Amino acid sequence: MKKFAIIILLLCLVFFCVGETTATDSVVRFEGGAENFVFLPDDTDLFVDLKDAMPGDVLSQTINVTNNSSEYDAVKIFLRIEPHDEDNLLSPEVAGSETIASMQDYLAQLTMKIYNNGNLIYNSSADKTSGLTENVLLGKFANGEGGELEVKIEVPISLGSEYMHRKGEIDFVFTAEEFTGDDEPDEPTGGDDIPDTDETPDAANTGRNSMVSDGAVAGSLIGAVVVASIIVFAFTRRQKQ
Amino acid sequence: MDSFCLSMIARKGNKMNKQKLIIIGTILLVMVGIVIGGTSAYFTSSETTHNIITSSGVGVEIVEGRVDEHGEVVPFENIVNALPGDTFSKIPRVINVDDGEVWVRIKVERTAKLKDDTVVDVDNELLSADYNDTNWIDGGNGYYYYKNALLKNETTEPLFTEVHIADNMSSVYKSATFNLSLTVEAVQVANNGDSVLTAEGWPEE
Repeated sequence: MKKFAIIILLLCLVFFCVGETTATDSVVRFEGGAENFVFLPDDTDLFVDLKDAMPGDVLSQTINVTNNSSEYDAVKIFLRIEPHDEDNLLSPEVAGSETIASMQDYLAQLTMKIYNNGNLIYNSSADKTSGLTENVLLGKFANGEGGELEVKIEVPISLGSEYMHRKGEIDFVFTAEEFTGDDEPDEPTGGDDIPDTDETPDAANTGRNSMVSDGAVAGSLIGAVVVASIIVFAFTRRQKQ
Repeated sequence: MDSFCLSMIARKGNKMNKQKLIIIGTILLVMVGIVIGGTSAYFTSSETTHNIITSSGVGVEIVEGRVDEHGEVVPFENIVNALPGDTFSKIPRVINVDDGEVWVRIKVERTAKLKDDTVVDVDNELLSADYNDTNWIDGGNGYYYYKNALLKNETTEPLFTEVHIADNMSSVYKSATFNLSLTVEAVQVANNGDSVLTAEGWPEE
C-alpha cells in the first residue's frame, strides 16, 4: 500500500512538472578550458520562443547564464550586441531571404527589452545596439552560480502584411573574464537607467586568449626593471672595485 | 704594436663582451618577468550567438468541387450551355495554407456578360445558391463570414453546394455568360477579436 502511494505521488509530480513546462529556456553555460561557452540549443540560436510572431504579440525568451568552470575562483560574464555590416554578415538561414537592409527594416518595427535578473538593460527597437553597444556586466559568478536574462519582443498590432514571413538576426557576444582572488562576488550592473557601464573586460576576441590585465603588466614591468637595476648596479660596483 | 697596447685592447674586448652579456641578460629577465606576470593574470574568452526572430503569416485558398454523375466529389469545371431552370453542383471551400490561425470571409459577386459584351450585375434571384447558414454568416455586405477560426491546413465547410438559374429569365440574358465569382479574404486570429464579426484588419472593401 505504501509503495502504491509513493508511485502515485511520483506520477503526480511528473505530470505536474510536465504540465508546468510551456516555454523553452535557453542556456549559456561557461565551461572554461577548451570548451569555452556551451549554448543550448547548440545551433547558438537562443531565441527558441521568439518565432512565428504575429501583430500584437508580446513574446518572451528566458536565457539562463551560468558559470560551470571550476578552474578559477569566479567568472565575470559580459554581454553586448554585435551589429550587422560588411564585417559581420548574416547567418545563411537569414541571408537566404533577407538583406542586411531589409532585415534592419523588419527589426526596426519591433520593440525589444532585455532584463538581467529583472533589471532592464536594453529598451529600444530591435535594430539598435542601444545600451548593449559596449560590454555590460551580467554578473560575477562563482562556480555553479549564474543569472537569468529575459528578452521580450513587442510586435505592433499595426504591423503590415509586408512583414509576413520575415526574419531578423540579433548577435549576442558573451565574454567571460576568469580570475582568482578573495573578492566576494559583486552585484551586477543594471537597473531602471540603462547603464553605460565601465565594467568592460580587458579584451573581447573570438576564441580563448591569454591576456594580461593592466595591473599585472605594471607589476611585471616594475619587477623586471627592479631586477635589471640590481644587476646593472652590481656590475657597475664590481667594475669600480 | 707593443704588449701594453695589446693588453689594453684585450681588456677592452673582455669588458665589451661582459657588457653585452649584461644587457642580453637584463633583456631576458624583463621578458621572463612579463611572461610570469602574464600567466598569473586574467583570461578572457568570447563567443557569439546568432539569435533569430521570425514572423508568421496568413494565407488561404478556395477549393471548388462538384459532384459528378457517380456521386464523387471532383474538381469543378465551368458549366456550358446552361438553361433557365438548371441546377448544377458547385461546392466551394476554403483551406488555410499558411501557419497562422485565421478568420475567413468570402465575397460573392454575380455578373453576366451579355451578347454585346456588356457586363452587368446579376441579383441573387437570378443566380441563387443554397447557402450554408449553419457554418457561414451573411454579413449583408456581399461577404459571408465563416463562424469558426481556421487552423493551419484546416478546410471550411462548403459555402453552398448547388447553384440554380432562375426559371424566368429575361431574353436579354440569352447567350450570356454568367459568372459567380468568389473572393476569399483572411485575417489573423491572434490578438484580433473573439469572433469573425469582431475581427479587424480586413482588406478595404
